[in-house]
Amino acid sequence: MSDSAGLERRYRRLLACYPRAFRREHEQEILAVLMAGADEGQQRPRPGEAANLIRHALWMRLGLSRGGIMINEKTFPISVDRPSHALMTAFGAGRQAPRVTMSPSTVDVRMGWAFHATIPREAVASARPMDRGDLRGPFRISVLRGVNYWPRTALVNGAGTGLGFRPQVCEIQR
Amino acid sequence: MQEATFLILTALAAGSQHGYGIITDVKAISGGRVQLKAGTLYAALERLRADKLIEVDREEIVDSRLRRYYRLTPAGGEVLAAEAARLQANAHVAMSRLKPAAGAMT
Repeated sequence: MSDSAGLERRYRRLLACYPRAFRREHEQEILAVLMAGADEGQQRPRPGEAANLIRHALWMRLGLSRGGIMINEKTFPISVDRPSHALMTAFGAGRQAPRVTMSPSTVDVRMGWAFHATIPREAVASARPMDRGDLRGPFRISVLRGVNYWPRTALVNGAGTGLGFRPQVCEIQR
Repeated sequence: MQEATFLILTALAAGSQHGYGIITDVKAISGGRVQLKAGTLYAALERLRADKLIEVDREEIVDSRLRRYYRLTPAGGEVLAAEAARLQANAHVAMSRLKPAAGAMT
């Protein structure tokens, strides 16, 4: 019995690598899976198993793992291309100000005092990097900044070129 | 679709299962070839849930441990059916092209 308690403690220590939001949702469950998969009398996590947990935890922390759980609040700066810079500065959205903040519940886009939009995350069905072809009609104009809406779709956009954060096209659920 | 994803969806096609159930089922389906690790499984489950291909069916406490059962959503069933049809069509072509070659060799 003390053997399995030691193993469980070691697995818990590995699971601590995962972001808190993920642990809150899945720790008990994964622990049950790990313990169910352990051999009789096993005292330490198998090296492959441990490496696998650490790798996935790291991916999740780096935001490289695509999943429903958004780990922490994360802010991306939006860089502004040169032609737009004067315009952006005039609207109080100079070099530092434009940013997108992702949180577990919202996508928040702020560009100086002139522009602020908050999109509830449950409204975002999917998001992908934008192709030029995604833009229709007036949206082809590269000076459209911030969040632009057209039916069922939002464009979260920083600049036409020189982006720190690539424009994202979000499909919005009805 | 990655093979692990295909096998996880296949494991859930016959009914809801919890994490360890999926691991043992995937191993059985693949003839012992694919042994999912916990980290891989939960990354995949999280992704499939975000894509709404699976959902939580129910939760149980067994031996004071949480068991969460997952099931396919209708969308998940459709995606699996489409992928299975694609693989079947590819396999069919491969087999039919190999047959004359095998015949010529004998």
